[in-house]
Amino acid sequence: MQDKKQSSAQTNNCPLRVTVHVFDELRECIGQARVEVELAPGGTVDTLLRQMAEDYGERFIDIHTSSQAGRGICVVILNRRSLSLPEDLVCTLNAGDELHLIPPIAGG
Amino acid sequence: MTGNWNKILLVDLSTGQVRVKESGEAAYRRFLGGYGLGARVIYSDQRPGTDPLGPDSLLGFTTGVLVGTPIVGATRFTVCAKSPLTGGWGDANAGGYFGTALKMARFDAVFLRGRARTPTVLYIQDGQAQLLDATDLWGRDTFETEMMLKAKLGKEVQVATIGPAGEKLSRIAAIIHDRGRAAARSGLGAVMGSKHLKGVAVRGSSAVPLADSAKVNELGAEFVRAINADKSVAFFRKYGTVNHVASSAYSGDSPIKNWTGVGLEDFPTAGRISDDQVLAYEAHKYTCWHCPIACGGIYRVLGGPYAVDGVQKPEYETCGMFGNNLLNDNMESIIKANYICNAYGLDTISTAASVAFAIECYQNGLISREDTGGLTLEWGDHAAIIGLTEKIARREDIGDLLAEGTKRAAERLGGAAPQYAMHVGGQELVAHDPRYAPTFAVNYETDATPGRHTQFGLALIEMGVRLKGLDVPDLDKYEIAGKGELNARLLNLMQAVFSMGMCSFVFQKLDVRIWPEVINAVTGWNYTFEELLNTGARIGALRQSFNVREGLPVTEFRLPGRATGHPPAATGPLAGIAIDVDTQRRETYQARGWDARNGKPLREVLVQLDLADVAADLYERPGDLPPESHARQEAE
Repeated sequence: MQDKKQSSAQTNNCPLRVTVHVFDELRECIGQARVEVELAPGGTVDTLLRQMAEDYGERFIDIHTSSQAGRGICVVILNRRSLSLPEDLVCTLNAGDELHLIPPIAGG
Repeated sequence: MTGNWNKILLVDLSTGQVRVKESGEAAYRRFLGGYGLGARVIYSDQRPGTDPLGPDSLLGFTTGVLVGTPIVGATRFTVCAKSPLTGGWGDANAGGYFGTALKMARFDAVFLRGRARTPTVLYIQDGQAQLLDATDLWGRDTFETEMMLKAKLGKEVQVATIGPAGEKLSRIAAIIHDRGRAAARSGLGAVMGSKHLKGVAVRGSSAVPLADSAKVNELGAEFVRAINADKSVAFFRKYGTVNHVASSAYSGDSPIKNWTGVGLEDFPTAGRISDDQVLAYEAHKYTCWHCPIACGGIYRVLGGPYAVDGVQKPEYETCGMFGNNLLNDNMESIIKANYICNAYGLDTISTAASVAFAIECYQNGLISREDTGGLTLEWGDHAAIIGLTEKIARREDIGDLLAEGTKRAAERLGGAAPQYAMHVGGQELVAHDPRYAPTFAVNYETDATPGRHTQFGLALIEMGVRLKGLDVPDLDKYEIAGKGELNARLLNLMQAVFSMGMCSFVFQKLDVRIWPEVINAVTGWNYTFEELLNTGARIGALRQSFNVREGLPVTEFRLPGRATGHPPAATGPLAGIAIDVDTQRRETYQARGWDARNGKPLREVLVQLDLADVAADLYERPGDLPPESHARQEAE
């Protein structure tokens, strides 16, 4: 994931806007499947999840917590590449980045 | 006896003889019901080497110790027999109303052997049973059959039936109840067909006797409160399993393009067959008997080529296999495919896997347009998918071969075809990728019904489910080593709980430590959690021993490399992941007390589990047919 971190360095002080696709209970929680989120320059995956937890509440706190807890329980995909959590929480984001947040599922 | 009736119905379809066997309390305590009781009876009473489609095979319908009690979610009935698909142990289960009706008809289980001379229905009514002529039902689909039986016997009657697929001995045939609750896996619909048994109709009105009815009622009410208070339940009630069709496509949980694709790259339109796009066709909710979750639904497509009405909701597995895995984003066609499978009596998982196999064979020149009866097989071509599904259902053209399952079809086609057959041990894989939840790999390979996800084990935790009452540390799911003990413990727990007739989704919402208290309130026993785990271990060892005694190469079952990352995917969420199944297998065998060299549960383990007769079979007279007197101590 090192290459991803390097390529994500910010070059100006403008806020960055990323697109987040959310699924399952997260989608139900915010009422839509896709949101645009604005972050301060230098924002990371961790910053994003914290901000969404602040904006949308408990279920995002859950996903943030499970992201910190161990690899693979919560799936975070950045530009079609799965992040390795919790290590990649520090990944910095670029304007226009696209993320998919997929919470744990019930086995069906 | 409480919790059970101590009555097992035995039916000989060849002679028409019907009798009742009392197995005694010890058998119920040791096996609880479900596939536990089924394995005990069939292991004991069926000779090894029996043709699963011959008259000597035994077919069981079992309930479970909690079925028909006020404990919510205890609705499952299990069908058991030697599988014509795998040649080993076979079981499948379904919810709805049939299991509770059978239990309330004062039978814990029914076992049938023989072959009726003409199509027959077994009718069970409050402690009585009779065989009815079903000549007028033969050839009819499951919807018609159920409707006609209810018209004849009364609308309260619950029916489990086969359709034309089972009659035509398709090895992927299912048994259908309530227009689409399917006991689908293991090809057991063909066993019914081979016996000329069109269906089983049940009317039951007796309350199951309880040791402490006040306590059972209190526990049942507490479970309803706990389920309704669980914040995740409202969401699950709304969507059931279809909430995660798209997310599973994108996360890598769901196979894409016969296990070769990447969801976000190859199937970015998975959202068209997921969550609200599925619910758009829901006419009303469907609930199994007394279930407070009510995750099911009755569906309709009002017009167009796939118009259907009053059909069961396609669940995740059906959407994953007929959708994601075939790159088919046409929701109405998936509802139609589900209907075809339910009406003809086919397993949607194995059928869709066979369609995927056929498309890949076609694309690689192993199947021609002549073979398909004029169909051009392309990924995502919903018309072709429906056309081929109908051909499998009717055993027409290439569908006749595909109705045998992918393993046999691949062997017949030869060439590269086996590479495209996504099965293990002869059974088609489900829509959960072991590269996403790695413990699925070893459990798919080593369960007695290979390729099944519903035993779960540790894979359930890896998928993110948090079971209350279990002290499971945060785990890195891709750290493979050191998990065999925990996986074995969870497998034991689940085999015991599911043998009681419990629904997996209700099980997932309740504290796992509560089950001994529930069993004791129902039966008056003094079960402990350790005894529950021991019972699960016994059931697992017996199912495994059945396969060993049949001579199956159980230690040689291997998943296709596509499912384990050999070689690893180059792109997508699962890129670079390769599962070390050798380590998983070694640890799981060791933790379960099974010999990794030949698959036999160790002699001392079998003895400890009160399976001394099985130990004698496997170690003192391996290869011999058991004598007539063998192993009937539980049953007679």
